[in-house]
Amino acid sequence: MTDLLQPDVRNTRRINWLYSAHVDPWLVLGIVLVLALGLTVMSGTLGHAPSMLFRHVFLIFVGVSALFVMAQIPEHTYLGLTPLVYLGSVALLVYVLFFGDEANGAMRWIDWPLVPRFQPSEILKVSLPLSLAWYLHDKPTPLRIWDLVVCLVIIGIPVGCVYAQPDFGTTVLVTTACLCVVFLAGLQWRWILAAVGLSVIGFIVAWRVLLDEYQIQRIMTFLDPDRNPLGAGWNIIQSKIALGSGGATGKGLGEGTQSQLSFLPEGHTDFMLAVIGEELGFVGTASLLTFFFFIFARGMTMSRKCPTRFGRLASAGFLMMFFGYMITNVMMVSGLLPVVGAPLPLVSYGGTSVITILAGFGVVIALRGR
Amino acid sequence: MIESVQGSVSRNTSELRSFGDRVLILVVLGFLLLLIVLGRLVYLQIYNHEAYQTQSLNNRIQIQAIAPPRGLIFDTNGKLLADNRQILSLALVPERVDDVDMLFDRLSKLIELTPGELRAFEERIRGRPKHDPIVLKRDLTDKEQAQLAVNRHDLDGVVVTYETIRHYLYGEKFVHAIGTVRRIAKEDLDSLDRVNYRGTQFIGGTGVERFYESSLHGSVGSRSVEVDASGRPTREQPEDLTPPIRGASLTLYIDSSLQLAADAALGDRRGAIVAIDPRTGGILAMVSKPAYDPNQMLSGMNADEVNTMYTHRDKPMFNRAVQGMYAPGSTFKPVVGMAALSEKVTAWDEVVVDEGNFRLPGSSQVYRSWNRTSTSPGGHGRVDMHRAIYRSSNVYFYTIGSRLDVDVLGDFAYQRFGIGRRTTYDLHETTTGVLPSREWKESTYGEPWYPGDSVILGIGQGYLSVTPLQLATAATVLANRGAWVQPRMLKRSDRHLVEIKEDPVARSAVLEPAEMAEHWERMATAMSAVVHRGNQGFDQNGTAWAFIGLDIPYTMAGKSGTAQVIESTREGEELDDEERDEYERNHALFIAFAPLMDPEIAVAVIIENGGGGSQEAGPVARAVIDAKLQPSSVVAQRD
Repeated sequence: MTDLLQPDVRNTRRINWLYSAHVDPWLVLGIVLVLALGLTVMSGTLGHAPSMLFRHVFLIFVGVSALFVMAQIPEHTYLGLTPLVYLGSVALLVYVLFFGDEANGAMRWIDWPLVPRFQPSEILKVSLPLSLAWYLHDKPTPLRIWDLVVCLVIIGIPVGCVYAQPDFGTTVLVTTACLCVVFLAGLQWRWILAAVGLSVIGFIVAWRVLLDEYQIQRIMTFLDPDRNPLGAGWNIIQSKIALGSGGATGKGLGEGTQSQLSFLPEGHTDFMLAVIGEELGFVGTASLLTFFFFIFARGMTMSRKCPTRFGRLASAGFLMMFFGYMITNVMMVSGLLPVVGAPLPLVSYGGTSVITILAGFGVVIALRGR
Repeated sequence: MIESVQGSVSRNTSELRSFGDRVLILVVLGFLLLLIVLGRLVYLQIYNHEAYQTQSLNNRIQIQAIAPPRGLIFDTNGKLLADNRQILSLALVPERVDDVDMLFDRLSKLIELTPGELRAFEERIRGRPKHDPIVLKRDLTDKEQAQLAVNRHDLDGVVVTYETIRHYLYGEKFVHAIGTVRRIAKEDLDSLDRVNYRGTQFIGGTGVERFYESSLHGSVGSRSVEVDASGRPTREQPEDLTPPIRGASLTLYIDSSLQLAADAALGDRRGAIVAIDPRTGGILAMVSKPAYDPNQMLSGMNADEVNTMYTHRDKPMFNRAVQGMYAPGSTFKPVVGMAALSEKVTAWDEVVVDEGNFRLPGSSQVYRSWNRTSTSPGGHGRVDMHRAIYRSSNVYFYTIGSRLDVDVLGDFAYQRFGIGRRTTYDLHETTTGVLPSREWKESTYGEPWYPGDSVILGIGQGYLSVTPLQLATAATVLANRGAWVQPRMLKRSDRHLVEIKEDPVARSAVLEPAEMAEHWERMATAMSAVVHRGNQGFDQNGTAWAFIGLDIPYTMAGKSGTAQVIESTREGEELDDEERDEYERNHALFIAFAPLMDPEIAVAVIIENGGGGSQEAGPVARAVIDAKLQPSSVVAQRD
């Protein structure tokens, strides 16, 4: 328990309640730094569209509130509610496959009255680590093969729906983070080695035997965007120019020509890092990455200190999800990975993503216990 | 939780230790990834800063799409039917225009700009990147070009571009045979591959152009162009990044000499002709009239002119060959005859006495013969199947039709002749026509199928309606003595086409009783009597002999049809008497194949409001067949 507020404002009942609120100051500090940096740069990029900027600020406000509320809920409530949350998110994912709104050829969105438009796959970032932790919390280590199979089924059902939308990026990222939970739960090393070996062999077989020439060509284009300078390659070329021309200290806030002249598409969403790099330079990007890593490391430390196995697995799983999205986005924007559509957590203008992430951190704080 | 901790303290501590170790592993892995990313950022932002700085500040790289040349279309003999030509067009680059209205003002003083062109420009500009040139006016004349060149200095953002557009060498004569491209509309953008179509202005709209769109289009190329801060290209040559890949070239079965002969034979009359090679199913000619000039449509025509094409009473945009629906009339009799023989409800030697009238038992409704006059009921006396075909006896086929169950006849026509279904391999057939059945009538009219419906179906009237393509397909089946070939446009292409899922079977015999072979052969013979039986005296000759059979140098089988027109005026339309007279005249039809043995061509001809089938449609069918079997004599006649 911590003093978040100054003692001199502790004079009303409401503030007293806040004083006894349960939060982690270090984690919150990291989050605030990232949010502040992101908002500062975004206010320049979205200067022409104040309504979008306002919406983003509002969603952050909702997210921060969610963080504080989630942090107050006791750990055993999460344990009890998790099966419901799991079934709920699967139901939403199935619903969206049939009745969802289509955008860019994929069925991803739910547009209900009174609720902001959202993607049910967002919820998975929090609900799936919780679900795995719920199943594994009373299982012995090292994991039995049966438990591993059940885990794969728990992951497979919702992720299968996401894959069918289709949303390849989310599929890979969520699966990877979930496999980290299984790893943390005590998956035996020889199984890990066996799985790695099998996938290498499978990959070679697929490449040599199963795939046709044109399929290999398609994959190569995906991996090497320079082959396709009009499509995915355009974003990468422009984003590298944005980052590179920013140099060490950047062109100054609101001065980025790449983003301001619309050479960089999606400057306020997936390619936000390129805008930060152009306007604030390496100083900006390196600080941002440092803040991110600080949040990650602090969160992982907290997860080690959780009093229950459920809490440990769930919060570490969510942090892997967070870190996975972050590192994938950065590698994509800097041209180390093909473009897969992963927003930069807490920074990208992406509708409800910021709410889910902040609520997730609320869960992490709650699971740490008092 | 407390209980579970007490339950297994030792397990819990080892679990905790392993968890801690593994968390550490993940954090260290994360840290390594962070270092890689930081290293990459150092490389981009510090080490390569100057290079990117230059690109960003002094130059801007524009990636331009290079539209691929559309694949060519050839006829069966390798004659070019469709290629691409370049025209000069006036385009605007939106990001370089400050005040669009002022620019329009200035431009309209130099060249003629219609409100239609301005509207179309507003449509076009939406959804395109701001650095793409958007066309304002096409096919500039030399004078307009000169005007623009002289005034270039105050026309910022105006560019004159070469645009490649489709060119159809035979214009309106082939438009319904091969189809056309059309400009990409806003609605298309959702379904098109945005990257591959980025430089493309046209997609296939109808016919082969539409069916083989993916293959004809090809793959987009790209070049990078350096432009300075104000957006002007620098002197350096554009660098080609990826060359475009030309679309596949198609060779069709269409035979241009045949197509031209068919076009000439139909003349100015409304109607359609389809000719098929029964050996391959290849469509040799497909004419629909009136037609329109696709070249004008693509370059010159303004919106109002295009609109009249759609609303004109004679519907030039309408491809009668695949979309038109007509009662087949007596051309359906061979189908009814074969169904009756197959179902054994009649035999070749059965004789029906045709005194011009037919009545169903217990009914007072009289069905009449086509050759009735005011003084005589007509009729053809004692007729068997052979005579019923060459004299086209209605009473015989009323009798046979009333014996055949509608669903049995329908099934036979559907399965064996392709009536009532889409049969071609590579055409978008928008209609199946109407093949009536009990169920169809119940659901369409809420009435049961009456015996009287079967009587008139026996002579191809009533609810039945077919497309000229389906009629030609039926003629093909008769020519092949029952064997099925699927009609198709494509003969070959210069590469594998994605549209072709599997190689279609060219010709498939149908398993049927041995005696059917004889029935098919005798039906063909009866049809040849339609054309060749002559000099037998009044009312004894084949119905078409007098019109086409006198001097024919080969053996030809045919069947005429004259179909009543039921509905001719559209709602709210005023016609004067002369027009009404014309539009209410019967449709003339003729199906034919030749030579009788080993046929090389099957034809269906429909002339709207043409009058008698043998008299009007017969000579057209013969002209098409002449062009196929005696090309030299046709040329001689034309000279």
